[in-house]
Amino acid sequence: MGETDSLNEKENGAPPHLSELQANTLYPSASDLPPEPPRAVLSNYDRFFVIDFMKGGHDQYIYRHNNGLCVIGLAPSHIAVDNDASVIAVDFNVGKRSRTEMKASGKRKSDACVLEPTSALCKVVCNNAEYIIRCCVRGALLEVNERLVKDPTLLNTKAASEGYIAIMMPRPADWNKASASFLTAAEYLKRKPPRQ
Amino acid sequence: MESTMYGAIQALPSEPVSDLLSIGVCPFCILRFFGIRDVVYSYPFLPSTLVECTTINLSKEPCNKKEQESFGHSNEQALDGRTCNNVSVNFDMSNPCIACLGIFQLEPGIDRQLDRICHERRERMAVTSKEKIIESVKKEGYQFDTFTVEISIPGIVMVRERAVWQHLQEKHGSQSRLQGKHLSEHVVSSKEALKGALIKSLEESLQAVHDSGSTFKIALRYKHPETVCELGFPGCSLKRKRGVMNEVNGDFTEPVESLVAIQRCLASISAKDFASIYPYPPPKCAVACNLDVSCYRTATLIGGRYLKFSRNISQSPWMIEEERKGDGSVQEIIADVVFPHFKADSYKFHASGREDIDVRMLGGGRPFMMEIVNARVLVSPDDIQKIEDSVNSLKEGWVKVRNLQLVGADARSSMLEGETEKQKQYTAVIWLSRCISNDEINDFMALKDLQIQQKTPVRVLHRRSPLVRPRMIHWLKLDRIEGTEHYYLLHLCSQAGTYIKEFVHGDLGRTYPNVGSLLKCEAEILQLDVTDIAMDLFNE
Repeated sequence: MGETDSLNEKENGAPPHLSELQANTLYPSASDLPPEPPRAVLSNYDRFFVIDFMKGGHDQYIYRHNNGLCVIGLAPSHIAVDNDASVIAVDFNVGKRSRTEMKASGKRKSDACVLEPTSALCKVVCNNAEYIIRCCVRGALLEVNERLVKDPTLLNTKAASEGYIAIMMPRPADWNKASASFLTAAEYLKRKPPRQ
Repeated sequence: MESTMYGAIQALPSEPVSDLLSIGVCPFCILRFFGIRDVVYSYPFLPSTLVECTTINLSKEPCNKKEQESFGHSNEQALDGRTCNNVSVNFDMSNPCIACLGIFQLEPGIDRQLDRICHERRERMAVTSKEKIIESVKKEGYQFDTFTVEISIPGIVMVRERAVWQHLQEKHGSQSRLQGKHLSEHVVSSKEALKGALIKSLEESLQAVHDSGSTFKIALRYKHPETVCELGFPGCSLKRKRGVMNEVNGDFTEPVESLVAIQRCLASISAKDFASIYPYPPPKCAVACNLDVSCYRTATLIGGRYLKFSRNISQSPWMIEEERKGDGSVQEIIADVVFPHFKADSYKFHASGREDIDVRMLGGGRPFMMEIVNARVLVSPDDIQKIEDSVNSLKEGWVKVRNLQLVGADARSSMLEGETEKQKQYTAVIWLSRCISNDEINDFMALKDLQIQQKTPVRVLHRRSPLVRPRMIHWLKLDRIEGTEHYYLLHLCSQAGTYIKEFVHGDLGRTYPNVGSLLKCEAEILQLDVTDIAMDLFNE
């Protein structure tokens, strides 16, 4: 292929001591690679959980990136997804303004709305019930996952990644206050072992 | 040159000249007011010659005006002419010139006549401006073979110039040499005259050539305590709105008088209005300008391409709460070798984009540029080659440089363009959650100019605007890593500004489509290398 040729040309064009170094280091071999890869979601975030947030069965996760941002979503044991029924709809039209209209912009996100831990993020509708998902931590709302409106079943299939609910930016003090009551991933697994 | 000067001086109308001398205008400024240009100002005997010629002219005037032309062709003749006359010219040299406030009188030359006249003030002058300049240049140890002189004149000198001009026009405006002339076109600016007075002798003393494009600048700042701002020119602010960065030491200086604003006011103000603001001829002033000399070199630019073989070296120094992240930085590794060669004040490091700390920079390298501020040393292309060799022989071998060279200022804009415009090639080691068939690989590789939508990655969302950025993946290539089922090498070429890690793992689906969505599986990225930056810059 043409692309490969141009790639090789570039390497050959480099001074000899450089191309030699590159040839040895560019490709790892099978023995260098781990049986299981590090997962981006696991290695980039500290994972925390809350159980029964304001109501029984309302279990949520808070994934905190090391830059301080928090991804909020449904824990596997949340009553909306811990069954065989599918989620029918996700509605961000809760509170005074629809959460999808709460856009943050600019580097500082100075126009972002600050929500309380108990503020609603969205309503998850199942066959026979509706559940309110909440912020869990006080902070600026940076975005909600609008894909859930079109594809609510992401909550059933990929709640821990593409089915996240929202991204929040808490201040350090607010984070410290809220996280004191959060469970670590290990504590959560002990309390809510995965269903067989 | 001497005869030209005599001719020029002699042709001056003696009446206004003697008037100017008597109110305290120095001979240099008199020549300026009559629009005389060129090297005349560097002639050391200028002041006394002017006095002589004027004396002779005045004494001859009533008898025969035509004879003036034959006079003064040699020094002896001029002196003779003076001795046989009783006419004398009054001149006042006890104070600085009322026009230039002594700027030109800092040049004593070797004129004995003037020596006698202003012996007293001369005694008070510690060093002349030329000596001051040479001392300042030598002190910093600059290497140079060309130089240029930058002069700044206090605003009050421009105001006084105007006042003298107004006096001249009113009293001698009918003289043919002055009739219908305008100050801005006719009078030689003090900067121009000062250059005429200084440059030739500086060239000789400094053994260098004056060149207005030279990177080595000698800045002469004449200062005077009398300010213009208090005079109250109508309808304009004469101060710069903001302070100015000092190029040499990076200090922020206070707002100062804006010479451009003063010039504009003087150009538009009527003679009558001017008279109500400032007296003409201007009053005598006992304090002369003083001179600050400073030297600096404009930025020396070194361009090249760097390669980075370590996954623990950032591009620029990265400190988190005083703790260093990684083993060092590309910037420091290169600058630690390059910077000391220039005996400079400081440097800035620019590159055409950047890679993450854990991403290697391979292939032809990434264009970068070092901007070296106020270098004392001039380096040759040979020196640059030696510098490149010494970076490349560092024992860690984490960073190498290629095609290091001295570059012009235009390289800066080409580099910035590369940050946003140019195509980049990458090789990534990726993991896929299922084994992909050869057909699927071929379908995947058939994708050309694939448009993706990339939301600002969570990893940088705290410091960058939340936006959706459309980006182009120009081509993709997938190789199996032998002996594994899930690992692949992904080669791709993308538009500048694409976040590759996010294109692979999808960033919670916020980059879409992504490698996982295209291959209908989960994808993770383990290693990433930049293998080429498609730019012509510093490629040879």
